[in-house]
Amino acid sequence: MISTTHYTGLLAGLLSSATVLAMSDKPEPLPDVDPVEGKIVRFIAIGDMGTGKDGQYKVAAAMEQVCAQRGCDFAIGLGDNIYESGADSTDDIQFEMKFEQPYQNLDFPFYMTLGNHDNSWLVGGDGLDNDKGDVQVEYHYKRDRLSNKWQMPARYYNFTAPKGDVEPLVEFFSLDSNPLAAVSDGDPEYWQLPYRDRQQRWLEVELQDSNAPWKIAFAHHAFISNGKHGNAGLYDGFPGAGVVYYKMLKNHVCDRVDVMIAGHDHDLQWLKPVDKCGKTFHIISGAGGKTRELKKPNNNPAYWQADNTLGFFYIEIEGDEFRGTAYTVDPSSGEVNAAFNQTLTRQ
Amino acid sequence: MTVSRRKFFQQAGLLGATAAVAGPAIAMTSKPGDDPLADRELANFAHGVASGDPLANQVILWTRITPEVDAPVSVNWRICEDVDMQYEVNSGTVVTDASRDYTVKVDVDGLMPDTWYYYQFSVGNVQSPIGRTHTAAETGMDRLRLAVVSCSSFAHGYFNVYRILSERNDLHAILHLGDYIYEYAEGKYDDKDLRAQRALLPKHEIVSLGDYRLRHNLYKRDPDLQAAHQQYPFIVTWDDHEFANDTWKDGAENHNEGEGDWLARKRAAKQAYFEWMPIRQQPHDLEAVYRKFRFGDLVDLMMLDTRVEGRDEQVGFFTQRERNDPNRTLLGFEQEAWLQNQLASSTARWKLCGQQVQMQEIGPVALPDKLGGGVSFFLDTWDGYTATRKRLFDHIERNNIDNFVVLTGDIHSTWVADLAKDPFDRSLYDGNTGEGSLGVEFVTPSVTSPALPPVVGDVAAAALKGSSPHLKYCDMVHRGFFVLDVTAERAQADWYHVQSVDKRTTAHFHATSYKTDNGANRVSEASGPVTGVHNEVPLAPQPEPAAAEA
Repeated sequence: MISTTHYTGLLAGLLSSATVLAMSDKPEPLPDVDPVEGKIVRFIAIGDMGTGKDGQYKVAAAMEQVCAQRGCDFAIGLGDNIYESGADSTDDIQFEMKFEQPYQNLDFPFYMTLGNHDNSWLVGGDGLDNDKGDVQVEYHYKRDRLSNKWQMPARYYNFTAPKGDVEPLVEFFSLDSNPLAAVSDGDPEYWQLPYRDRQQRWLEVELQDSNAPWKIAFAHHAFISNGKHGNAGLYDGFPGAGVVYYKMLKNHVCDRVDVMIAGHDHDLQWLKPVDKCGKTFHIISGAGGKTRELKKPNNNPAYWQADNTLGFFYIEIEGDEFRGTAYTVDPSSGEVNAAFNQTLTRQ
Repeated sequence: MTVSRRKFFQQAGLLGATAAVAGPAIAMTSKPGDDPLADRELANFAHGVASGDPLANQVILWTRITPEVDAPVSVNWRICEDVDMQYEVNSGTVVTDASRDYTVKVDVDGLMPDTWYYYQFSVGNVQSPIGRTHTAAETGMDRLRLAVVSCSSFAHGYFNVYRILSERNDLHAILHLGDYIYEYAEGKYDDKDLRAQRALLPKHEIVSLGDYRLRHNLYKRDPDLQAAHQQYPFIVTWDDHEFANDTWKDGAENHNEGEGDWLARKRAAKQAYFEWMPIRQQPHDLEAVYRKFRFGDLVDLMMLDTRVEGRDEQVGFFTQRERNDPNRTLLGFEQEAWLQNQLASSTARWKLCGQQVQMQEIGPVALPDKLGGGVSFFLDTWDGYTATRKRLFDHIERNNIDNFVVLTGDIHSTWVADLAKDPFDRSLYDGNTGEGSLGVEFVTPSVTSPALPPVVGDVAAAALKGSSPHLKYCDMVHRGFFVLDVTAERAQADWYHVQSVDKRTTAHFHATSYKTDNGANRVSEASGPVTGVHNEVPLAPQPEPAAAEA
């Protein structure tokens, strides 16, 4: 009985997502909005940080230093918030060990997105149990937590900055990449096509509704990357890996948001726009706790990239300017270095 | 109706400008000894703030005090033009006490039309969260946006719909079409997997005044419901579950002799409702909730009571021939005359009715009237009171009343339909062109109350749609809400469905959009949801949840 229900549900899901795809092949262009003068948004992008170990603390100390100098409104957390297999409940001590304690000296909101390690079942990082990610949403609503920093009102959500401004400068869209980019979850709630259908219906309305001149999408999985995991649709060298996710990004995110920020690869990359994704440029910031070498440094053209280092991006948006600084943090000494600075103009 | 009852409600009504009694200051938390919730820490203003029933220069402000001791408390209120609470427009002091369950209600006047305001209460130096509200327009008004919700059973899940609405900054007000609370005992009507997280108070079915108050008290402590009340004025009407299932004027399906006198129960339910809801009592009848709101020249909104005001008892399935009896009434003849007068005399472009049960004829085994009308399974709706509907539709037709839009709840599902006198008769109504339609009905899904499971719900909806030429869209699976966007050209409803009510999340997605064009008096599909509309003032600041000591 149950399997029949699921089977029919799957069919219905396939059919409905097919109609949506047919409808949404060419989404309506987004209205252009002029930035209002005198507003500034400053934030840090960190990813793959939730180890609770020395690397995470070194990066946290570096963030503290940079924020004291330059000012930070908030951070975005690009997933793998809790290694190796996510949290089991909102009372899980890992929330303290891998989030609250490392960032205890940073007093601003962290807008978090989910990674494969946050949704793991059998092996850390398998991304097969998305229900575990829901624990991290639940933590957002928990009363009496150690701090109110953790922000994740849903698996996918949007927010504007400056906070509370009726004419915001930037709107952020936190995407839920894992159910679409990993191997499909057995739970019908996360079956890839219906799940993508719902997520892109949400995204489409919110993008159309946005009155912010700058639009930034962020997620754990990248659209393109020169790191170990590579480009969407060919993740880890497997043809078709992440293709459902690829299509959502290609149809609804590419050329519509100004910037796509991701983690997953434990390095730092600032990549140039590529033809298949229009004006959108790409940042990978996955060195918030772990390090790794770039696997294919020439896979996609880069403004700048660095590997075997900890670090993060600091970003300042003002008017039509996007000013980014890549900070590297030495894994042994913790030394902080502003390794790369660049200003891009909104297209 | 007795004099003493009316007098009672008068006293229980709005707090007048009586002399302020210096009440004891309230502490940051309190555990009153005789409070059955004593095991829970109750912060002050633990029930949040709310506003409602906006007029052009008046609005109701509401809060509730959790007193340390049972003695009258003086409560100060301020209303300002700005979120920083600098530019005060009006302020005052009222007293509340146990006779009204320490609820506070102020009908603030001296306001400007079509204007946003921020308000705050205080007792001593303890301040409530800041609320935000909006007055109705007196004239003009290019666009009105209302979120429409119904059926919010606490025990069935989290009020994610309310949270989502509280984060939107593109509405003017929220319409709640009833079943704001549910009367059942624990285990009678709930999601058993959520029994711990969504535990009811009291645990038994609510019958007495104390019970109804406590159930309202529980609901108003929900942080998501508080967030919605905080940002927008509500315009509410009650349905059956504010009393008991399938209420009619002299009884209810879920009321039996053992539960005592129905009139006493009804009175208790009403008293708690007027205490706990941000609703204005009507001078012509302090117990009635049917009333009119004017939004400039654009919209007249009539809120109806199809439930307790005058409803005759529902007919049984096997005696359903009686549903056509012209002497039976759904509204009561007084309200019916009022509604017809309002519709005939309205000079607004759109005539909206916010009400409970479906006005449309419901299939799937209905027949044209000339063949006897077939069988109805929905005898609690207007289908059970066809004479009331016929009189209303005749009135609309005879007076050439255009742009009649009915907003409906109760049924935990999404429906879009033309309203026609005999939609199953092809000679009187054409489903393809809408010829013969007199108005439209938009039905909002539930906030949490159970819909049908997938597949079953899809099959049921398909069966209804396939057999009902006037039914344009039907979804019986999802919970959610719709946003009604009214301009001079059209009234459009955008439905949004939520991903889940089993856990707290704001994940939701657009489901469908329908509109009715000016003068068309029928529905048509809209190309997409209305986007790009934003209020020019910020949301009221969200109270930070208490963080533990680090």
